[in-house]
Amino acid sequence: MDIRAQVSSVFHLDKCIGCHTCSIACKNLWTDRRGNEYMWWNNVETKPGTGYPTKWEDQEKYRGGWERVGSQLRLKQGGKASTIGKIFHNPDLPTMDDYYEPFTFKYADLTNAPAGTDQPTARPVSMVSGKPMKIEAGPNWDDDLSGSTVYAANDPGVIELSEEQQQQLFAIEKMVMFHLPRICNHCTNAACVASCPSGAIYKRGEDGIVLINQDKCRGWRMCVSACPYKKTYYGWATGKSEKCILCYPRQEAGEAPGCFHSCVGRIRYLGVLLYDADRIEATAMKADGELAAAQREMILDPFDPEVIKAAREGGLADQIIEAAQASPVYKFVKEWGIALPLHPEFRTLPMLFYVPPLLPVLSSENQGTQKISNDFFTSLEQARLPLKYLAGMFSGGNEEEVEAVYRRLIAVRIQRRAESVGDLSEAELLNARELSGLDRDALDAIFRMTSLTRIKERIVIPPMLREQAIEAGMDPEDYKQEMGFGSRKAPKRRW
Amino acid sequence: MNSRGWRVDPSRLIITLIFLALALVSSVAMAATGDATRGEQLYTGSLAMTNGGSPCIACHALSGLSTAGAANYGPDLSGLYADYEAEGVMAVLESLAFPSMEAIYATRPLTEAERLNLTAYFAQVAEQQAPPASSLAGPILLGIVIVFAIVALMGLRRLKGVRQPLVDQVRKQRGIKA
Repeated sequence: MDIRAQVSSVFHLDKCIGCHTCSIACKNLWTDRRGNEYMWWNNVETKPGTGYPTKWEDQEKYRGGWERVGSQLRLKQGGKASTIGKIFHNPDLPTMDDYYEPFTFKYADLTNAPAGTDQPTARPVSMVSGKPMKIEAGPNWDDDLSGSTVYAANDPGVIELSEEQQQQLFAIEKMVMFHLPRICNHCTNAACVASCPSGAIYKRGEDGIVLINQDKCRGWRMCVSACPYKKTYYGWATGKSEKCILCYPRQEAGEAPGCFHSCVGRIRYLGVLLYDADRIEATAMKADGELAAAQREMILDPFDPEVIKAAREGGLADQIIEAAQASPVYKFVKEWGIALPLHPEFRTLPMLFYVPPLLPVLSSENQGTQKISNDFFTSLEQARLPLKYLAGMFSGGNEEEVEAVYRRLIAVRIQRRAESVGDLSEAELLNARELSGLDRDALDAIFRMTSLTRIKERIVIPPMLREQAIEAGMDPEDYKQEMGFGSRKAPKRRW
Repeated sequence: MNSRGWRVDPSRLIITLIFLALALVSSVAMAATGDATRGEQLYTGSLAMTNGGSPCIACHALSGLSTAGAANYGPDLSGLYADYEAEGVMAVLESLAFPSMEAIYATRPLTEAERLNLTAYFAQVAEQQAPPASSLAGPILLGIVIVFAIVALMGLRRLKGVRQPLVDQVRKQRGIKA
């Protein structure tokens, strides 16, 4: 056993209201520089929809992630020889139009325009060329336009559905959508790390945060195509690629990452997971439908004395183990089993988990009175989003996996309704509990965690122990005197 | 000196005539002694000109030197000897009174021996009737076309945009022109 610690997260999609506060917080913190205008390290997508960049989930186009070749795991975009072959000409990169051409408006015209008979207008201009442009795309162009014939209909998950299911999905008055916030997953089997010809991308040993060394990056952009989530971006002003850094400078100061801190719906949970690094390859080799379960297996119980012993032997500090025990992510993923990785079939073993959305209440109208449909709480069969669609997103097509999560979420609601409204029969409650496989306390704990907790319970930042990490490389006393705030060199190539 | 007449100092004329006659005699006498091998070395630049003039190959094409002798700044010299014979060639090499050559050779004239050697070489070339110098332009052009073709073929696999085709497809279905 080779036990490692990973700062990982859970996003509760039922709670996401799609306000984009996370995206704006991140943009203001990290990507408001020239050359980074189009980057959204954190973005919120509307599902069904094609996302950002357009159709990023379609790896037949972008060729990101891993694939199994015989008994080997190989990057879908090709091995080392193939990388060298196309090092000056990576054919799998998204174009600017697939992200969107960043734009702003000539606001000054509103106040500086000469007096005339018309109202002055602020024309949109490209932030790349500075010329007036027609805005045709944005980072969430299909926001709330679920059902649009261009974007929602071309969602790779929707295309997989049967004709009947598609019609049901887009039927008027039954149309359904939800939001999907995305950041870098800080994968345990990161494809970007494996693809980098310069060896500039690394996974921090102490907390598993995946970073791009800006001094070593040569801008080959192999990571841009290799990342199946399209979460590394090329900055054209610096000539380097950049990605979400999980706000490690904030975390080192004990603060929650920007997007977590600003989240209005409080959908974001953060905590340490302990996992067995020896099992990464075997886990990533599983069949599509088994990947989510195998990844759960790889995550270890921080209360297990054997795990604690092995973790200590592996050099993990006691504070980290304590943080792992307090981790809400562990509870969501392992104890309650209601959080699943996004697209495990890309085989990067993402360490950001999602609680799939329990679908909005569907009301029916009868003789002028609105009525919440009777079997909403118990019938998963009448779900507004087909299970197949959700299974395609969260479990590599394994519908049982998603169904198990929904049984638990439904059980939580039934238990709360029985307690607070009291209009459900005891038999129904027991039945739901049995189907969920969780007891009363666990269901209550889920309710508490999802609705009542404060930030310190939702976001458990481990002590980052910088002193120890520094000590591994140099004398901390020297570091303090010589490094100041660290070393940073301006990139040599500039435009 | 009388500045407006054509009156020539007789003594000077005599000296000049004697000099010319001597030169003619000596040239005819030494023509047989010009070394074509050294002439070739001078032409191709493997032997430096005494006064530092640049080798002929830099600007002139000459048959028998294959692609190395395919320069085209000056005219092809393969037919030089056939056209002007030894005397003409010697005379030309002495003055080199062409605008672009004068700039070089006015201050770096060819020596007597060099002129002879070169003339002998031109004579040898004229006899040999070697194939004309072939230019590399054709093969280079072909190479460039092949490289571009390979790059274009590789580019066929390139991801050419995902979003725009989706929009175009829907526009086409609805018969809307972009």
